[in-house]
Amino acid sequence: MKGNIQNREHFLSRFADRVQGGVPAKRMNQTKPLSSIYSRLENESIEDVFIENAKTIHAETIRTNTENLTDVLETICQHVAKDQILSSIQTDNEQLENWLSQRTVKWTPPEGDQNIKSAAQSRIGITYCDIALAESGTVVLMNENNIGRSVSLLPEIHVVIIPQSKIVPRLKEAMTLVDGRLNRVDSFPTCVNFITGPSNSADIEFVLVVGVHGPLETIYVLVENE
Amino acid sequence: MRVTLFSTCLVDLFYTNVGISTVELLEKLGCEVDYPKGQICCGQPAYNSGYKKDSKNAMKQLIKTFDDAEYVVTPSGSCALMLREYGHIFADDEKWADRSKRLSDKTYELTEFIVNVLGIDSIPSTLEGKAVFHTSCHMTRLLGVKEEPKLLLSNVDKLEMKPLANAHNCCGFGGTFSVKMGDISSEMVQEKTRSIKEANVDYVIGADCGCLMNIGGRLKREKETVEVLHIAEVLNREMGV
Amino acid sequence: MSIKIKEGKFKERVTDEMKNDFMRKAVSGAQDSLGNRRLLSTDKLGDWESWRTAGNEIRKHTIDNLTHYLTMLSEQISAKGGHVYFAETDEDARNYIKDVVKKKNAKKIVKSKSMVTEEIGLNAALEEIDCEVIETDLGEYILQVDDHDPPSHIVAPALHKKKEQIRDVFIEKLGYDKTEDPGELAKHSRKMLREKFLNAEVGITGCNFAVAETGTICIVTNEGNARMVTTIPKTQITVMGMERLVPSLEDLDIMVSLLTRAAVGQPISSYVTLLNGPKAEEEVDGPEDLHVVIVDNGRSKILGTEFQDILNCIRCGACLNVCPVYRHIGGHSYGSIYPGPVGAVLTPLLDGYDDHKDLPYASTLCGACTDVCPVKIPLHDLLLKHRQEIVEQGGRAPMSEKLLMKAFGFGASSGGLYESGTKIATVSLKMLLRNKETISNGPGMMKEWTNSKEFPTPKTSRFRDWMSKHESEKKHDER
Repeated sequence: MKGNIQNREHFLSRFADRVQGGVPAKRMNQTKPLSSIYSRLENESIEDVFIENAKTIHAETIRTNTENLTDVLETICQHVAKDQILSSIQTDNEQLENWLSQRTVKWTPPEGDQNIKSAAQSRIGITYCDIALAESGTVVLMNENNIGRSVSLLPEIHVVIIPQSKIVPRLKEAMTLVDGRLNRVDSFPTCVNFITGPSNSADIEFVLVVGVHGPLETIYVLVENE
Repeated sequence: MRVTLFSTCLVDLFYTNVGISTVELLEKLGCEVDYPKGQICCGQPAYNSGYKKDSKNAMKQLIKTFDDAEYVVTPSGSCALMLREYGHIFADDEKWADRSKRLSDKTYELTEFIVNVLGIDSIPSTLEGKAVFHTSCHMTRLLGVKEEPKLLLSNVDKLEMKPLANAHNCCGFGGTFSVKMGDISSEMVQEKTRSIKEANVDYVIGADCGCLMNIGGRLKREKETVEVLHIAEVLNREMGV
Repeated sequence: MSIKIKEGKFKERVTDEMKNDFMRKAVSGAQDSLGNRRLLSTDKLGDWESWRTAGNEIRKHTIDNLTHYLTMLSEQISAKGGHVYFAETDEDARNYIKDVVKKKNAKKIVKSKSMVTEEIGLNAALEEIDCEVIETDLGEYILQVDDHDPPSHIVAPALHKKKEQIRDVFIEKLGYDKTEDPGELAKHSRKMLREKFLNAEVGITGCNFAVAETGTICIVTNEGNARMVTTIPKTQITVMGMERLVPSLEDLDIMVSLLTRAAVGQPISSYVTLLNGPKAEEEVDGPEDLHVVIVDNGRSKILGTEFQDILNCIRCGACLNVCPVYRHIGGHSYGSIYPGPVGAVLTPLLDGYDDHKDLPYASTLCGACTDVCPVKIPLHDLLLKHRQEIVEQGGRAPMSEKLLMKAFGFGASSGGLYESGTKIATVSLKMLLRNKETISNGPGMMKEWTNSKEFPTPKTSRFRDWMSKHESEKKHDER
């Protein structure tokens, strides 16, 4: 359903004579700045660059493949013993699906707000990512298919499963992909998160503290054959 | 080569040695230096305080004075910058637009002139000791003359240039700022003299008398023995002296 | 709070603030550290000047075509189910937001950092209708708890606070019982704020960039508080200055890349969140209702003037981080929520010259701000333009100064007058000063100088006197 727009005409009329009228031609950016990431990727593999940059933002990357994925997840989760683990993943991978069903509480939309409470009580939140950025070690999560926003936000530890094929050089490529998704009429992600490491702040005497509101720890699981 | 000197009011009244060094240096480098007496002030003090109209009177005087000059050379980065602005300032003035642009186009700061017009990057002068170079804001950021003074100083015999901490921070002169906002200016120059003292040098060399007056004034108040020199004075020293 | 944060005169504030050794050390330390980080990150990216040029082009194009892009933005937000209100004044914005909150019977509000909401005095207005409004940016939270101490920096608002001060306030007001260690203070804040987030009914955010083509609200943080504020409460209100938008997501890439490097030397912040309308029906978290309030509050007056470039600002704070004046006087001296070079340009435009006419003079026009601005705003030029405005508007410049400048204009326009004038002056001064090299105690305005520096004595023999002699000697030699 469409939202309301109020007072636009009067607001805009107050300065219409001081800006250009009419519709500007769709502007192609005249200056196209380059990033050093592209020359770097001529000599190094994109996943190696991604892992190196992830390290600088305190995200540890574990490399694996589809076969061993659930083993890796199990190892990670063993560190938190009996604490609750929450997941929000839609997958065709039967092995993964079974592990998630047994080992985690699932984000279940029909249960409404209970999911948020559950996220707040969980120690680990597990999600996939839609895109990853080599330049900055960033993961991009879009919340289509009812992937809960809270899963990557409320628990103390965020575990992200990254298909290697989803790694792109930098923000530029990711924005093109996001643009494609947002221009779809039928469904589009209402929330796209670019997440780069755990939350932090330097607001107190410029000392860096980690985990202010979001997760304190981020763990990447890079699936090489996906 | 005929060079017309714009001494600047600070040199004229307070820093005669800088003017003398500039003339002697340019003559040694093969230039014929003339000095039209009609020159007074580039107008900066009034212009930068927002007095556009009043400053234009000073500027017109200068434009008239330098009408016949081929090259106008000045030992001041900020004054050179001001003259380079004349073209813009008088752009809409039918009577002065052309003349002002011509002056802007033929004005050079001293080291800029030596390196880029005369094509000289080494002058065999001597100054024994350690020094820091004060990069004045108008000259480096706004006029874009960054490497020329350093190049010339690197070729001065027996002179060891040392880095200056936080060199990019303004010394706090800013023309009328130094009296309008004297307290803030004082704090800024004190941080500058602290950095100079930490560098442990014999000389602080600069290319703008405003900055040197500011820094030198503070050093003197602190009874520091670091000598304050204009780059013209350094380059004009005889070899072996 | 509104745009003005302190009463009184600029110079008095400066005198007070410069006595604050902690603030001065904190600010210069932050400047040095952020300066290094910024340079490292822009060097690593490469081609930084092209990035700045691209940023300037995008912002300039957007502002030049503001009507078109604001129309497009509102259409897109509405198509995605969000409501848009165009607020001409701060009062309009406050009233609309109060209405939304009242209609929801909401009392518990959480906020992520937003300068424009401080500008319009939103928190006080909501508190008047008995709402609890909690700032969730750690720096802003600290300031709020400490009796609404105003911010001193655009990106690090609590820069002027000592950790011991924060500890004491937390002990007094938040049941804190640990030390001044920043980690422990942050942990306690996390606990306190987590409870507020989970129970909040309304979330209020700012907007770093809105994207016209897709109706996207983009929020950039390191803490994750904007994510909290837009994930849990059922109603979201986003407030944005009318100039804070870009045409496309391709443009957003460039703007975010510039922002995070210029501000804090990071290639990207911990969280860049793109919000597209309220949540979909089947979704669990996210707001059911989204309201975007687009605020003018004086910005449109700047359009079409010689100050228009200031509307390109992306609030990165880089100019504060390089300003040698801000370094010593700190944010509170400016008396505005917008301090530093951008504040000195923007504040008089939004709030008039009466209370702010000193700000454009608090600068040596060194150009460091212009040099660093990621979207190439000619900040020091705009400060000079303010000075010209102030002088031209008559009554604002001190009479003594006006007379002095008139005299200067007169004296400097006549060679003869200068000749005789300076000759007389230098000779008489020399007599007064009796061969002293420097002046230690100057009269009148010179005191501002001689309070801390020696002033050189004018030479009796001016340079031009030497030059005349030199020229005649040369002529003599030639014969």
